[in-house]
Amino acid sequence: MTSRLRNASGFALVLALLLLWEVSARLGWVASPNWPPFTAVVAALARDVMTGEIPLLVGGTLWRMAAGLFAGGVAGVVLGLAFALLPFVARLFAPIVELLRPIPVPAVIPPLVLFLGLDDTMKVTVVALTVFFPVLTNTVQGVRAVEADALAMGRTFGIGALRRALFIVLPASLPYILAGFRIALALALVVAVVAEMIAGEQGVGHYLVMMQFAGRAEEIYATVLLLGMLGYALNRGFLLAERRMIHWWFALGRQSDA
Amino acid sequence: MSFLSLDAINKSFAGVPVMRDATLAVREGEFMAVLGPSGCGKSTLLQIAAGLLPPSAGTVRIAGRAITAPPPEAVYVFQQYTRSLLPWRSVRDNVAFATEHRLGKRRARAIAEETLAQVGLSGFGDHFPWQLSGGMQQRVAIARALAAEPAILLLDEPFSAVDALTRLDLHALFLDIWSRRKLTVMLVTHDVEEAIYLADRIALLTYRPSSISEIFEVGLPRPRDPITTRALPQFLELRQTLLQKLLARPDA
Ligand SMILES: Nc1ncnc2c1ncn2[C@@H]1O[C@H](COP(=O)(O)OP(=O)(O)OP(=O)(O)O)[C@@H](O)[C@H]1O
Ligand SMILES: [Mg+2]
Repeated sequence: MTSRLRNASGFALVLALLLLWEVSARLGWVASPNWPPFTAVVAALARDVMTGEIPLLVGGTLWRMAAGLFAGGVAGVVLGLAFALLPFVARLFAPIVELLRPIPVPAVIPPLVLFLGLDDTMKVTVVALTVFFPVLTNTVQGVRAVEADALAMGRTFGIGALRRALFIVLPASLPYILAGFRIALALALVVAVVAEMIAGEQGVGHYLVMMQFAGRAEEIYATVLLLGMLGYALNRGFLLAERRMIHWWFALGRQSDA
Repeated sequence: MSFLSLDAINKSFAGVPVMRDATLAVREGEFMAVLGPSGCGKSTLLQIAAGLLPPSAGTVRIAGRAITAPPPEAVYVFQQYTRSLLPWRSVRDNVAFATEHRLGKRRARAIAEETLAQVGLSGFGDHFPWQLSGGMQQRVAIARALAAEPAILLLDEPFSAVDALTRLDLHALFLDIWSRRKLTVMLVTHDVEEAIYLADRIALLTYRPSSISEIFEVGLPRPRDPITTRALPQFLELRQTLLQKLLARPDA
């Protein structure tokens, strides 16, 4: 009851802010051609969606994001498992990882352009690099949190090392791995759009820059609004999937900081 | 003839000796209890016997063969069932986990249903471990161990984390399974009555660095009864002797 009221009050604030936006533009409180009313932005969004232009651009961006998420995520999980389970892998790779991790990903876009060009390969690589580190870190963390007794249980039943890694270590660290993916998901959308803004002529990012040069304020806000809704939907979808995949984790009373 | 033998086992952790020349021989089909105070090295000794922990010196033999890794004949049952059961697997699949790598999933699940029925958990296969009571979870762990059909069961205080009534229940269940399957059992416990009630012989573990100081023959008739066996003069006498030995040890 109280929590429903609280949710409703948060929602009401959003509505109030949108109303303020609308009124401020209509009544000319912000006297600028770059401050269109909210309803005009929604109309522009609807128009661009109808023509099929925006869905195509968004689809391209999402596809590159998903490809990067997959590639970087798989690499992060595999190397994370290897890191945690095979000491020599950790010794070999730990220094490189620690040196590369602090580099801001947008900074590696220019050199990557030189090697990979302006199109999909470069952008997917940029997203994959972004995703790789949080997934790697969380996987290593997750493997360290696996109960020693669960591993010894596998050994006493004569279960081999690979099978133990796949059927004990991997599921046990899944809650941590998924937490890494949730961070990575948000970053992936950001970086995909940034990469499109910096290089090439693809996707929502490039569209945003073009609209900026053309001075089409309504289109700019429409795109930003759309990206916001997209990010929200992706996160909600992810949380739902997480609830299903590690229902046992939530049942044990562990909390996800959703 | 001894089936499981521990020969002059030494163990140090980071240079600190916790076990010195522990020697013990368990006969085939025997129920051996190892009794010792908390922290004296019971789990350590049992994990060495299971091939899960390498001794610093000494040899473990099973059927005359020196072992360095977990042998196929023996299964270790953990002190804390909550840590060794897999929370993402149903009860049935937890039990099947013991055999599915050898027999395949279908066969393993069929065996799981059989062993779950033996420990009184038929109908709970689809539950998750965390949906069951502590005593039931411990039964799942026991069923999983039985599903692997080991010749030797190494039990690390498997009855200590449940309430007193459930413990009596599990004792009865376990004695029944032991006699039907002709298992060789090594049980470590700090509970004197549990050791006397269950075992054929009781080995006493001294405090650190620990070794086996004495071995007692229980000699109580079987089948044993949770109430009348505990009232036998022989039971009470042995209980008194063992408690005196446990309490008389010099403080470290
Ligand atoms: N991995 C380890 N590293 C360092 N010391 C250890 C390790 N494992 C056990 N010990 C030490 O060895 C001693 C024996 O531990 P162990 O767990 O075998 O005792 P226990 O008799 O099983 O105790 P309890 O009755 O509480 O289960 C303890 O003093 C403990 O601190
Ligand atoms: Mg112990």
